[in-house]
Parts: sequence; C-alpha cells; structure tokens
Amino acid sequence: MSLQVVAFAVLAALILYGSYKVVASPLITHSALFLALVLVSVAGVFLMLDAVFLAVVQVLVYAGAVMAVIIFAIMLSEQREIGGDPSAQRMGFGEELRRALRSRHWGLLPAAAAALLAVLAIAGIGRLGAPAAPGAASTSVADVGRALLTDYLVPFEIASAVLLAAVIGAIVLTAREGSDARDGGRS
Amino acid sequence: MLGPWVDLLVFLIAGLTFPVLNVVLSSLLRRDYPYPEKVMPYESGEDPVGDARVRFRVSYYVFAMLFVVFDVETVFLYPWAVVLRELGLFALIEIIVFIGLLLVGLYYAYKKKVLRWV
Repeated sequence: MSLQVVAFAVLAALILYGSYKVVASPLITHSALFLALVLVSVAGVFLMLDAVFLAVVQVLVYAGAVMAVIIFAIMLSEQREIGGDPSAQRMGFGEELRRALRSRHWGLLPAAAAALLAVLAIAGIGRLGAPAAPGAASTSVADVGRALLTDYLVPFEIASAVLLAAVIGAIVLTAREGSDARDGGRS
Repeated sequence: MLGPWVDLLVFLIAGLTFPVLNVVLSSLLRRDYPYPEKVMPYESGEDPVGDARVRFRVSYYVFAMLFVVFDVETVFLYPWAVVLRELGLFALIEIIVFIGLLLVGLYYAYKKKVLRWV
C-alpha cells in the first residue's frame, strides 16, 4: 500500500468522521470546529490532486474566513446547544445515530437524498474512465490566472458583483438589527 | 502526487504531536489537586461575572462579513499578479473593474457608518 493510498484513507476517514460530528454534536460550537476539520481535510484532498492553488484557497477562504463568519454567527445567537440533552455527549456512536434518526422524521429526507447521491456516484464511477494520472493535469497558479482572465473573464467579473452584493446584503441585514442590539452586548 | 507534500505532512504531524505530547507529559508529572479557586476561569485575577456565552454585538458580524469579501478578493488577486506581465494592459483593466466594484461596497459600508466602532 503506497503512501498515497494511506494519505487518502486518512483524509477520507477524517472527512467522514468530521461531517458526521458536524450534524451530531450537541454543541453548535463543536459542530463549527468539526466543520473546520472537514474543510482542512478537503484541502488535503485537493493537494493530493495537485490542485495547489485550490488547496490554498480552501484553507484561506473556507477554513479561515468562512469559519470566522460561522463562529461569529454562533456568538451572535442565543441558543448554543441543540436538543439540550447533556447525556447526548456521552452516547456511543450507534445510540447517537439511532436517536438522530428517530428524533425527526424529516431527517429521513436528507438521508434519502444522500443515499440517492451515493447510488448515482457509484453508478457513475465506471462511466468516468480512469482518473487522470497524478501530475498530468497539474494546475499552477499561473494556469488558474490565465484561465480566469481570458476564458472565464465574465464569471470573474460576475464574482466581483456577487461579492458586492454580499457586502451590501450583510450591511442591510445587520444595520436594521444594529440599533437595538448595540448597547445590549459586550463591547 | 504526494512527493513534495511529505514535508508538509511531517510538519503537520510534528505540529500536532508537540502540544499533545506536552499536555500528556505534564498531566503525568503534575499533582492532581483541584480546588474551586484553581479551576475557575482566570481573567487577570478577577472573579468572573456571569456566563461567558453572552450574545455578542451584531457589529462584529459586519466586520467578519467584510473580511470574507476582501479575503476572497485577495485570493483572486494572487493568480492575477502571476500572469499580469503576460497579459499586460488587458488584465490590468479587468482587475481595475473587479476591485472598483468591490470599492463601491466599501464606500457603501463607509457611508452607512458600519466601519465606525461605537
């Protein structure tokens, strides 16, 4: 077994475990930390695929900035615990899963969707052909830049418009609430 | 390809092992003698007042959101800077449009006074 297979297995295990804990942790803060673990592990997968720039972006933007926003959003919310059952923290994996499945019938909907996605993915594996040899489709930062500024020029400029919308949206949404929450919290 | 990333892997493992090993070692060596004053959260010798989980001010969120937006902008600048010489004036105009649009957002934030810390 090559080092590559071992690395992929470790990353895949981290991603699966982390994603499970994101939805199963009783504390939202813990969910956020497990989400960070998942995002960093995905960056590892990008590195293994030779997408260096994407891996850096993943860590910088997702594990850095987006996680910061999520944690800020958690700090702004009143409710930090899901379910409010302290014994849930001591439960084993099987019991935890059983309770999660039983607690909300709506939980079956995303479960069914995930199962469908898994079936489609497994069915699709054969059609895609062999994966590209590592290093064959190496993408440097210059390749990304060239593609962004020539072939994908319009999406690139639209990205800036989307970011502008995000700035204005954040300001509009928080400014309305800002007046009454301003003196309530901690400075 | 894993070759060049073995260094990173070693760095990661070393970085994770060092703090964990130190905590484990110190827990093996130290005396376990907790008392209320010792286990309480320490903040400059003051007794803690209330719960740590207060609702924070909403203005923090605007700053976090602005940080994300300009972080993403910085990420886009990086591949642009690498190919600027190659693509010349065209790339320069493109990035001016890109940053110009985002500066509109910053100007809006400035006008709305969300950048001011009250």
